[in-house]
Amino acid sequence: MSFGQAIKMAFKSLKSSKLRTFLTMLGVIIGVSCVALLTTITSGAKEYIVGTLKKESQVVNLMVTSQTKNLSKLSFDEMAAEIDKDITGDFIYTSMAQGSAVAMVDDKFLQILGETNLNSLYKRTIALGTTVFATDIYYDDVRNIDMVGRFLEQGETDKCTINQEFLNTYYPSGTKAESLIGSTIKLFTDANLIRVSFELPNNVDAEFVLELFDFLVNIKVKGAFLFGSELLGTKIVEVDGKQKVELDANWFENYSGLYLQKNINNAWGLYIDFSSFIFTDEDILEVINNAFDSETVPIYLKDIKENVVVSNKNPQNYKTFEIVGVILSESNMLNSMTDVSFITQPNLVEIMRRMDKGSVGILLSQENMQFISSGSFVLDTKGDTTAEQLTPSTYSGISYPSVNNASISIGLFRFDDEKKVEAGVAQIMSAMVTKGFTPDSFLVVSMNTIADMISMIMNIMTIMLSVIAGISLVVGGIGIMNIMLVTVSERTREIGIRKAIGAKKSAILWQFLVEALVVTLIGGIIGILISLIGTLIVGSFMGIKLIMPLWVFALSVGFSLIVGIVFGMYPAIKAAKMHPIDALRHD
Amino acid sequence: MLSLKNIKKYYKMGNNIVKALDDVSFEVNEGEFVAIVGPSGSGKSTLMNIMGCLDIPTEGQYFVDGVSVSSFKDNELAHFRNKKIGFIFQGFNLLPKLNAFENVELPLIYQGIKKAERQKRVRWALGLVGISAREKHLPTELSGGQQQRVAIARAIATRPSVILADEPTGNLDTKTGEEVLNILKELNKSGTTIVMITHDNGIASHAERIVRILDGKLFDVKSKN
Repeated sequence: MSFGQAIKMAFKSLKSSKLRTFLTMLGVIIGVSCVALLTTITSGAKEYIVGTLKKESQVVNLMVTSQTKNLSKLSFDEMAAEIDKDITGDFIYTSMAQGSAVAMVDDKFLQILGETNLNSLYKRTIALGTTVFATDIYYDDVRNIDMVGRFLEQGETDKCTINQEFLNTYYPSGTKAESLIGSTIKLFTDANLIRVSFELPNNVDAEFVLELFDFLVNIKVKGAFLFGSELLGTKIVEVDGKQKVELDANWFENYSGLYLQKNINNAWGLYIDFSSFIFTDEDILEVINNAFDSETVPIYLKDIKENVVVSNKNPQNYKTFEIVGVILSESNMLNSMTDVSFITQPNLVEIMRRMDKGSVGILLSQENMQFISSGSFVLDTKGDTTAEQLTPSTYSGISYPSVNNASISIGLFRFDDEKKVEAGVAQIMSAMVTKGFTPDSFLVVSMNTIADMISMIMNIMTIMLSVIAGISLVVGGIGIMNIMLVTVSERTREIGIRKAIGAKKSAILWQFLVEALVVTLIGGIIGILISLIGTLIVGSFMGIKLIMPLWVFALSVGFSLIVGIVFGMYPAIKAAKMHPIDALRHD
Repeated sequence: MLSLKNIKKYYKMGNNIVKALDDVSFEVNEGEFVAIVGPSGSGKSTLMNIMGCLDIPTEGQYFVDGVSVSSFKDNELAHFRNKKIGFIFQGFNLLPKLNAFENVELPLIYQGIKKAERQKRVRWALGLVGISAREKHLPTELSGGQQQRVAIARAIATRPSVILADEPTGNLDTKTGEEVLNILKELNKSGTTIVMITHDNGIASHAERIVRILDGKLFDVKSKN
């Protein structure tokens, strides 16, 4: 009996009990469509994510760590002692083949090395969400950015760029990037602290303090704002049926900018700190008076302004920068902080050093005084402020990438291809090894490595999902075996007749095996069709173009074939082994 | 052309041995029409099974056209059966989901005969039994007599050496039974060897030779009417 005959017989038999055939097929349909759909979705998602990541960044980060000590507590000098001083920026540059990559060497590294060539100084400090970058002309090459205007060029020490977030935060809404080109901002280098204090009446009650607090918090000193929005560390108590504030001198440690404290007169004072702000005393007073004079202020607060005292340390040192470019935010997904970039220059190194200790304020223009501070300060209890006694906040300073080791980033940029970046990295690493670094002090981090890691994780996910979905296929297969056994049993007599008129064992086996295979194959094809439709639907929901990869298609077909063979074989063998005489006797 | 020599068929039922056939020897010549008559339990079905290559004897030898089949394995038996033997059963045993044509065609498919040749033979066989008009009918759409005719057509389509008919008229009324027997006689006249089993002497008398069987033993083996 030929294969074609077997198929014809199978179809005839399956058609004669359509409902049973369909229900049997259902298991395979569901199983195959699950497997195909899930693997397509996960592999498509993986391609998308990995592809996006790989496109995003062309920077490879070579990090050098010291294994021996926790460098974060060291001063620059101590750190230098840990790492060989002979490795200069020049050394690094010349270690790489010409034109293979551009390296931006982290400033910490260079400072440790006593590097005086500041062409590639890259340092940042965070000023209340504003990152002030002292960078080099390669910044835009490395960062793959879109911008309005242009980036900085060699020697342009009086120009800067800002980014979209900066624009959105500090300029009036609706300001167009183009309109800021050519305008100026001021960068202040001294820490400036202004304290405004109010003496409070003796029997201040809770309601009063809270109202005052609310009021002060809402003073918009033309964009300046106070630290904190909670009146921490006070307890509200009931005294004589009224709510009173219990004042505690110690709570301000956890908080800065606005606090209550006993002053030298042993009266409670409310202190507001504006740090690093350009205002003069008079400016502050004027602002506060204006605030208290406005119509919205409660009457009993109007008396307070008589008690205002302002003390400050005016900043004197600032530098004006002209904005030449605005970096558009969509182009740099890694940098969501506000951002001002300048070319580094010697005095800015000083600036940056001092940023560790204080804060930087930026004055955008006389009309638009924005307040940015890198931190806050705890004053000594006498109420004086001196720059030297200021302690840095947690916001400013050099940020160390890892907790236990100080590591230094060298950014590499590829001009043309990944291989050259790899070669560049390898060259630097081997050069540094000759200087005494151990091979395991290097860590190469790039979007590619991250992308590869994600790819690997998602591959595992895909396999897991396929296996789980495959279980449903096994269940379907069990259903097939079950039904085929019933079918064989029902058709015992028929098998006997066929054998009597000359069917060999193989003919009977094929007959039933092909029946099972037809069910699974057709079920598999229907399942694939369903998953194709599902792919389109899910793809449009996810916003990704999902295509079923060929291997998924082949896998699904293969699975259904295997299920058909595995689960159809036993009943088919059973049928083939039947003895014709016994079978003929059957009902 | 059929030669049974000392055929024994024993079954073990617990501790007992049932002798279904106890040393049976007999010959059928080409072109003969033999009837084997016996009551139920006489072993006639067992004899039929062995003669039809559906079963092998416990002892003894069976030759068909000079070929010894008693030591054949299942597949060899099936092949031999397919080529040499045509069956007609009491209960017709047509496949219910196939129509008359397809039923007759089936053994030819198993023989591996190509479609054109199959068609020819099927039509020939159906014509011979006079049922061509109902070629496309399913067994449920045919009367008992018509079904048996289809069964006969199926049996002859492969041009077997011998036709074995097990109570061919058992499920038919007298008149239809007569018709069927006439067909068999016609076939025999044109040269087909037929061996028929029956419990009915009247039906047996249509054959030219009657062999009797009782308790696994044959009688009147050589008697001819």
